[in-house]
Amino acid sequence: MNIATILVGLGVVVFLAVAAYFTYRSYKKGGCAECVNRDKCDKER
Amino acid sequence: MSKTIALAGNPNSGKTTLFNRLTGSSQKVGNWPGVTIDRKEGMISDSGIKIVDLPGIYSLSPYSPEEIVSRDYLLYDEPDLVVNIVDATNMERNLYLTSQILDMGIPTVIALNMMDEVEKEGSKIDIEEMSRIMGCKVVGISALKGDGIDELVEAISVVDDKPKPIKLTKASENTVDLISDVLKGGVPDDKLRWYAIKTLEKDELAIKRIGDLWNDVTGLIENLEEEKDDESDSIVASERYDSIGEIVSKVLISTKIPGQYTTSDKIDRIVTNKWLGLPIFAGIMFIVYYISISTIGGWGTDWVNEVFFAEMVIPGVESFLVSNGVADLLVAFIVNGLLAGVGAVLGFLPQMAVLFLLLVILEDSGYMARIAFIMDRVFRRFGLSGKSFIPLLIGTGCSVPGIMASRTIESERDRKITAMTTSFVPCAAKLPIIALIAGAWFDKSALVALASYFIGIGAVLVSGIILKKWPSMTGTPSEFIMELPPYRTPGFFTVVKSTLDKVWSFVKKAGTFILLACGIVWFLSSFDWSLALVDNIDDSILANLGNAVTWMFVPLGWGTEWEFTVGTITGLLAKENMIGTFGVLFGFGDVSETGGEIWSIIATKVTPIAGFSFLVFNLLCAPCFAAIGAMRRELGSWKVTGAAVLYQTMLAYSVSLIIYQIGSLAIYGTFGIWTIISVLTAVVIVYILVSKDPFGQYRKKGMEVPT
Repeated sequence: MNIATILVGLGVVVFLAVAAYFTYRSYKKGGCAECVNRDKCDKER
Repeated sequence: MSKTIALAGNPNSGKTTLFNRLTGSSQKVGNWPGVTIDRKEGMISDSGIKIVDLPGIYSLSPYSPEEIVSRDYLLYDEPDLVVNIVDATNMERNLYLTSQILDMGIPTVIALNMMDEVEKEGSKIDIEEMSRIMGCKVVGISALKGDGIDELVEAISVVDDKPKPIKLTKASENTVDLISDVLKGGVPDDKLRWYAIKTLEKDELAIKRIGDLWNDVTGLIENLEEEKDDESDSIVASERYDSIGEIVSKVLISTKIPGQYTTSDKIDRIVTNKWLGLPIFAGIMFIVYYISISTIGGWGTDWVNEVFFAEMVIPGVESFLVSNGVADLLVAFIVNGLLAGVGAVLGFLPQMAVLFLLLVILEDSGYMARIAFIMDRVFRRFGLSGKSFIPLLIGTGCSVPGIMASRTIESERDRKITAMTTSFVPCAAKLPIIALIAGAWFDKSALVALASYFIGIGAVLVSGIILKKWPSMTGTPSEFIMELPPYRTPGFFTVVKSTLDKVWSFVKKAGTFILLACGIVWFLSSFDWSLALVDNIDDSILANLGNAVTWMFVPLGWGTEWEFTVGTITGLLAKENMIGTFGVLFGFGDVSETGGEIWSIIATKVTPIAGFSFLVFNLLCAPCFAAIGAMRRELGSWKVTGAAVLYQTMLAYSVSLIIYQIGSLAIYGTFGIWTIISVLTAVVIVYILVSKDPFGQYRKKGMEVPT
C-alpha cells in the first residue's frame, strides 16, 4: 500500500465522517430545509 | 433592556416578512394566508428584544388551531408589547382585530404595512391623525422593501403605555361596565375589559373562564339585546365596524372609485373563471415544466452530465488517482461509488434550480393562492375541502411541512385525509426522478412532469372519495373561506433567496445523506456475501437482496430489473437517493468511457410504459421516512399511520399495474393473467368510486355524519 492510497483513504474517511455528522445534524433539525416551522420541528424531534 | 414583543395581524398581512426583517432570520414566507401555523421566536440583534411571530388571525374568537395559538399567547403569555400589523390596503377588515387587541390592554404599536402599495394606488393615510384617534403609536412601513423599519424599532423600544380601546356605543359601553363590575376579582384586573366584552359576545372560552359569574351577567346581556333588537355578538361586531369605518373615513384619502375593478380583480376574473381556471393552471404548469425540464433547465442538465461530470470531473479525478498510484479498489469506490452517485443527483441541479425559481415566482406573485380557490370547487365535488389544497401546495416543496400544515384544518376528517394524501403531490425530491424518466424514455417531454403533477392531484381526489366512505373517516367537508391576496410583482431578493435556499438544500442533501447512501450501495453492489469483490454485479449482496423482493414488481413491468427495486427501496430514505443508487448501479462513473448518459443506459433496461409505471409507483407509494414520521405526528398513532402507508402503497401498486398491463396490451398487444387482474383491479377501483356513499344522505342535507 503506497502513501497516496493511505492519504486518499484517510481523506475519504474524514469526508464521509463529516457527511455523516451533517446528516445527523440535519436529521436532528428536522431533516427538511424549507420546513415552515423549523422551531417546532426541532422541539418535537 | 429585555422585552418580549408579539407580532399579531391578519393572515397574509406580512408578519413573517417583518419578522425576518427584524430578526434577520429566513422563515418561510408566502403570498397566501396560512403560511405560519405556529409561533416562532427570534431576537432583534443586540437589543435584548425578543420577537414572537404569531399565526395570522382575523379575530380573537378562535375557530382553528392556529387562531387558538395566537389568542392563547396574547392572553396567557402576556407579552410586553404587541406589534399589530395592519394591511394598509385593507384597513377596515384588519382594524377589527386591532380593536380586540386594544381591549386586552397590552401596550400596542400599529405597523401599517404595505404603505408602498397604498401610495402606488394614489391613496394617502394620515398616520399622525390615526395615532391620535386610536390612542396608540402608528408607524407606516413596507416590510418587503424595508421602509419604516427603523422607526418601528424605535417605537417598539419606547412605547410602554396602555392603549385606549375603541369605544362601542354608549348603551353597549354601559353594559360592558356593568359586566366588568360583576367580573371584578374573578378575572385578572388588567384583562377586565377584554373578558367583559368577550362575555357580552357570549364567547365560549370566556364563559368557561368566568364560571358561575355567567349567571349574574345573563340578565345584563338580555337587556342590551332587547334594547338593540339583535344578538349581543352581532351588536358588538357591528358597532366595532361602525367605529372602524369612522376612523378610516377620517384618515384615509382614497382615489379608488367604489365598485371599480382593480388590476388584481381584472386578472382574477379570467384566471379564477369557472371554466378557464383549470385549463389556465394546466397551461401555466406546462410552461413551467417546459422551461425547466425540456429547454433551459434541460440544456443545463445536459451540460452538467455530458461535459462537467462525464468529461471533466470523473475522468479528471480518476486519472489523478490512478497516476498517483492509489489502489484500484479505492479508485473504484471514489469514482464508481461516491462520484457516480452524487454526480447523478447533482446532474439534475440545473433543472431543479430553474423549476424552483419559476415556482417561487408563481407563489410570490399570488397566483398559487388562486389555485387553492380554483381547486376548492373541484375538491368539494370529491368530498374534500379546498383547505386541503394549501398543505398540498406547501407539499410541492417538501411533504414534511405540507403534512404538518394539515393541522390548520378544523375538521378532523379533512385533516386526516389531507395528512394521508399530501405526499401524492410530487415534492422537490421526486422531481429528479420525474426528470430522469422524462429524459430516459420520453425525450425530456414536459408532459411527463405535468402528468405526474396531475396524477398526484388525481390520487388525492380518488382517495377523497374512497376514504370518505370509510366509517372512521366520515364527516362533512369544512367550509373554505380564503382571502385572495392581491397580485404583487415578486420581490427580487425574496425570489433569489428562496430559490437559493432550495438549491442549497438540494446540494446539501446530495453532499451528505446521498453521499453516504451511495457509499453503502457501492459496497453492497461490489462484494458478495463472503466479502470478495464480484466481477458481475448480479452476484453482489445487493443483487441478492434485490432479487429476493423484485418478483413482487414483475407485474408492474420493471421488477425484472432488481436495480429498479433497490432504487425504490433506497428512495424510502430520501426520494433523491434513488437517483444516486441508479448512478452507482448503472455505472454513471463509466459514462466517460462509454460516451453515453445515465438515461440512455437506463432506457435500454425496460420499455417506456414500464418506465412510466415505475415513475407512477414511486410518486404514489410510501413517502420517505421523514414524511412518514410527520404523518405519525399528525395522525396521532402508528396504527393509523401504518394503515395510511399501506393504503398509499396499495394504490400505487394498483395504478402502476393498470398503467403497465393495459398500456402493454394497447401498445405491444401483450396479454396474460396479469392483464386480466389489472382489468379486475380497475373495475374494483371504479366500483368503489361510483358506489353509493353510505353517508351521502347526511352530507347532502348538511347534517352531522354519525361516526
